[in-house]
Amino acid sequence: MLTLDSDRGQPLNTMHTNVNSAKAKQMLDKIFFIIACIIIPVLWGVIVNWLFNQWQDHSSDRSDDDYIFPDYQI
Amino acid sequence: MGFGWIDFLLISSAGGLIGFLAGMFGVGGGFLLVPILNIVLGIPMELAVGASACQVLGPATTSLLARKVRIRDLFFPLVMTGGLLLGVLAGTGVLEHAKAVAAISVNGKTIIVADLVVLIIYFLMLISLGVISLRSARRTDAELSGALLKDRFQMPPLARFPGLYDGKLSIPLIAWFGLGLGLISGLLGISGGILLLPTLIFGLGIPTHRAISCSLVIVWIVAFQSTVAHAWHGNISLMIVIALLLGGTVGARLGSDLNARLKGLQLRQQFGWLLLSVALMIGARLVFLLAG
Repeated sequence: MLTLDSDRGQPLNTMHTNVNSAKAKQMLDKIFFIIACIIIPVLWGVIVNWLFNQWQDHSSDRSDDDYIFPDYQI
Repeated sequence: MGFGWIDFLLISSAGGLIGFLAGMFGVGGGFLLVPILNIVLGIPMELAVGASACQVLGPATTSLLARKVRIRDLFFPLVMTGGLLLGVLAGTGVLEHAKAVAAISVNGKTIIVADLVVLIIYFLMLISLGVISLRSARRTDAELSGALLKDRFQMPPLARFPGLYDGKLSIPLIAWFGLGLGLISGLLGISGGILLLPTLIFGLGIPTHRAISCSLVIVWIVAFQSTVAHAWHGNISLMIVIALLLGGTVGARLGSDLNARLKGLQLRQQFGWLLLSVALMIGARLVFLLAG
């Protein structure tokens, strides 16, 4: 038996479905946002590394093995 | 919170300056970023912490790729990963709790609890690290290489890490260290390299080159975990992250070029004064918040 929501006149099971789909959409948005937060900086890091490699290849004949990494000083 | 182009440029410039200092001293720079974003640019603390944690993934990825990390460098970080995860969850939980409390009244002034908690912990951490750095500036690298924690606290089960460490290390201690590091990272938005490297190099006596590779993997893992946790709680603004990535990359490159021209002792001393200067700025802000 269906009961009606007094304010909107919609069957309650329809309302539950709407609420569930809204929650699912909210969750999906959240997951996409988390993925974007991971992908943007990682992709940026990959691009920067690629650009530096290209720049090093073109600007000097120094190989990777000769490159001195700046040491952490603390 | 909306951002215009002016805000974007200001944040990007701040990122560039911090990237320069970070590149010069060979650290991540999160410990500078969060106080400056919050105190100087007025960005809410939770967004400053979230953006700082997220943007670390960019330089950490570049560094990992440039270092060509080997499989053996992954063992130690993987043992720490469980502790890191619990720590990050606890740290973001504390920040969320502070956010939920919102504001308290002290001496008739309304103070945002998240600001107060994060700034007090930053203040204490930077004062301690600044003093340690200035004291170590008087000693040479050879004097500092005597490992303080080597072969101590041998709580079982123990594990060997070939190529990284001569003796055996206690797995529970590594996990607990990871827990502490994750807690600080989740709460303060820093990658933890500032605490991790001195522990690996001066505490365990791991050679600097290996310690940096190992630290980079841990920093990447903790930044990943922190980013997911802060994104879940809605503490990340992608506009702030992008502005910081743009400015920070250029600054870090210029800073690391300068790093190669300065001596270790000189750098440690300047780094110590930098930490104390930021601590002073935070102290002034705390006085203003509590008494002003």
